[in-house]
Amino acid sequence: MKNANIRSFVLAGIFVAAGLIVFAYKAFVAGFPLSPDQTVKSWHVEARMTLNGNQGESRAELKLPDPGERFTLLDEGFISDGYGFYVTEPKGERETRKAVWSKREAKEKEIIFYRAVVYESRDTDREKNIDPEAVKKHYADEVSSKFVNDETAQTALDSLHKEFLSKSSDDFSYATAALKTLLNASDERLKLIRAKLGHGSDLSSAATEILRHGGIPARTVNMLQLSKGARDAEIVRRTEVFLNNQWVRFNADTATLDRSQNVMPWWEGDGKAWEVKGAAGEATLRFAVKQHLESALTEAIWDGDGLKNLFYTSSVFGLPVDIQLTLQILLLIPLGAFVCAFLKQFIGITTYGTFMPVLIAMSFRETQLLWGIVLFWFIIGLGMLFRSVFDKLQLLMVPRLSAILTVVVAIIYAISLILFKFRIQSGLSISLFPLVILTMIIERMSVTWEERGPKEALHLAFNSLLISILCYFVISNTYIIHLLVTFPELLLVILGACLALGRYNGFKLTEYYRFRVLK
Amino acid sequence: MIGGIKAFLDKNFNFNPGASGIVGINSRNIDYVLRNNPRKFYPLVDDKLETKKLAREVGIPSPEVYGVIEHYNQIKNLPEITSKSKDFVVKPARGSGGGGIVVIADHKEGRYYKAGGTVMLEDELNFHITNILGGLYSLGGAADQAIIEYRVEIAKLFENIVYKGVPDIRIIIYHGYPAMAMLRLPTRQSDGKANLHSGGLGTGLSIKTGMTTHTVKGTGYIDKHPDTEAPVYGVQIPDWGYLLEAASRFHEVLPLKYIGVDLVLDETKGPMLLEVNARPGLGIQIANRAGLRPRLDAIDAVRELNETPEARVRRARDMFA
Repeated sequence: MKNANIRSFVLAGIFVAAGLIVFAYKAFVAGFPLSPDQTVKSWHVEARMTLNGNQGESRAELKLPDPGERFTLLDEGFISDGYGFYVTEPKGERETRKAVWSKREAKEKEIIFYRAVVYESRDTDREKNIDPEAVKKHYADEVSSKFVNDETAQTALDSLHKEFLSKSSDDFSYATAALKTLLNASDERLKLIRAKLGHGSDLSSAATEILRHGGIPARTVNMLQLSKGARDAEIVRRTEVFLNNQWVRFNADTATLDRSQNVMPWWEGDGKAWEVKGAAGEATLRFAVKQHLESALTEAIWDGDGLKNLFYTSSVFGLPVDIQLTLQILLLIPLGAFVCAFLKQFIGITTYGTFMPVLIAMSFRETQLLWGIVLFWFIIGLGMLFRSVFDKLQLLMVPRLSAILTVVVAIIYAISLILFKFRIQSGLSISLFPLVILTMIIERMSVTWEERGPKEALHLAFNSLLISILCYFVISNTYIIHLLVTFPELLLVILGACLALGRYNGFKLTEYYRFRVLK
Repeated sequence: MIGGIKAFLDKNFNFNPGASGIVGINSRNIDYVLRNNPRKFYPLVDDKLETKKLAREVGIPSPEVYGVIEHYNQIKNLPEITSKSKDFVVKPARGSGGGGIVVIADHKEGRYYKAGGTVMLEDELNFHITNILGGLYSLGGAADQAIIEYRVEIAKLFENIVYKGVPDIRIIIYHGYPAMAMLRLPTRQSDGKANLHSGGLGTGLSIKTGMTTHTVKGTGYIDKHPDTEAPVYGVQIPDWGYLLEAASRFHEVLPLKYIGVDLVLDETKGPMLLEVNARPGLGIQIANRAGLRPRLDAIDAVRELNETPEARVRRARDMFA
């Protein structure tokens, strides 16, 4: 026994220590968040380019998002039907990445997808890393070439510059003065400049040109509006001005500061995001956006070094959302089982079936607790009624169990249908009740009822339900879910705890009661 | 952590069962069952037909088997089997906790009169047997066999302290030494079953003398049988030495070292073996008003001596009250 004890506890210690070491490293070194409320927003962003043209060789370019300081791209996907494709890396500071698709035998209509996952960064350090000199060089000194040899435009710009200077005391007031003046549609100087900027220009691009001419770094940014979900997400054009060493965004159409958070810069300038050559005559580009909240752990991951990426691939977060949910449930089962084991060995509560409470608790997660309890008793009660009828028919055991199972399915089907008619949502989720478990409870409860009386049968059923509810509170606790999903290595801790519990030879709580007459 | 919890419980319940030498379920399983009873030998005691073979080796009779029904198509042989005796018992070969046992006191023309007084039609008995075969009462729900066997005739000795049903004697044998013993008496409340959970009485038996000591019903001690009003204290079990020796001899034929041996006293055939249990319950400690631990420790101290069954019984009767 000594040996078995030592072996069990050493092994348990190793598992617990290993789990805790990895956990501690991830939590305190790699920066994985300990609590679930540290969430960052992430979006699935999709650009859908439809090419309409003739058959033949065609080529399409798409500017890829340059998410700027506040966002980070995590995953990118390029989907097309038979196109050759590559991504060009930016050569100069003002160039952006482009995806280039080409196909020799394109059809008349082709659709190309670009998908990405975008995370909002809570990390403000990167904004501090902006080099003001570089920004000035790229966005102010280099006056737009369109006006270099255009004297009338230069004259107009100079006149505006003087006016703004007189109205302002610093760069910020200069910028607001410029934007306000821009709203005056009758100003001849502005008319001239806008006309010269030509097709595709709007107030934003005009503002950018005017500010640059005045020596203030400015840029026109096309931004995708990130909403909870939109099949046709809007691109808005804004002017960003570099003031006090940071980019400040203005809406030129209203001459106001634009503080909205959920817009992601995609490309700069007043051009389009795409370019089409060859047979494909024209293209339309539509954007779709879908948000999902993720805990801050993704931030710990995407920024990470190789080790963090290893953690990332070993966690569920690289997987599609539905598989994540399945795996999340999977990770919770051992914890529920441990709770059952603990209650049995430490407290001494007996139930129908060892792990039945875990499975019932799982289904409570789907149905909500109160509904789950009501439905549990309803199904068990009705099932037992049928069982007593079947008993009179003197059926063989396995066919009888099958008959009860069928009845349970029929009850659940009927309840789902009725509840759905009354538009009660949780009705549908009860189909997730573990059918076989319910069947076995009905059978075992009936037998117990017959052999040991209703009191004992109900007592066991009550115990089972009680533990199910307890398990439910454990496995539906967001904090616990977060910990297990973020730190799956905690399974090792649970394993170690199970091994230690397996060698517990002390008394159960109920035994203090049972043996109290021997005091 | 575990030590801390133990201390907490001891303090708050003002009662330390461990210090009283009581063995709890967890300790029984870890310290005795898992250590001494290798799983692979369980079939020898889980299957009552196997246990009967062991009983023959030990030299103690067990209830005569009138017939065994292994398959559904053998149920039609039931009338032929039951024609051997007016009364008989149907039980699952691998049943547990007394489940599935039916005692028939008399039968004629397809009507079976149960010992409790109710009637079972042939159909109903057949159905009960199909349930047994289907594994309803067997451990783990595995397919099972139905045994039809001799119905024990209660020894006259017990007439006053038994209400229906058959009293049995449970002896805990640890490495061949009898450690503790108990007499289980059915009551009206337990419906003929000797099971303590169902309201039966548990009466401690002195290993030294074979006399009844304390009697527990539910969670309290009583002096008289609740149905017959007869005193349950100081009843002498006959042939006590023989019973202890027979039970101890299982050590020689069975590789399970912590067992409960269940015996009955038949009026005409004498002591018989009913079954052997590889996980004997702990209620016996309540009936004896004593913990098992000191006795098991005492046996641990001498078990390497390789004594004969007679010597083991003699030593146990010297050591234990």
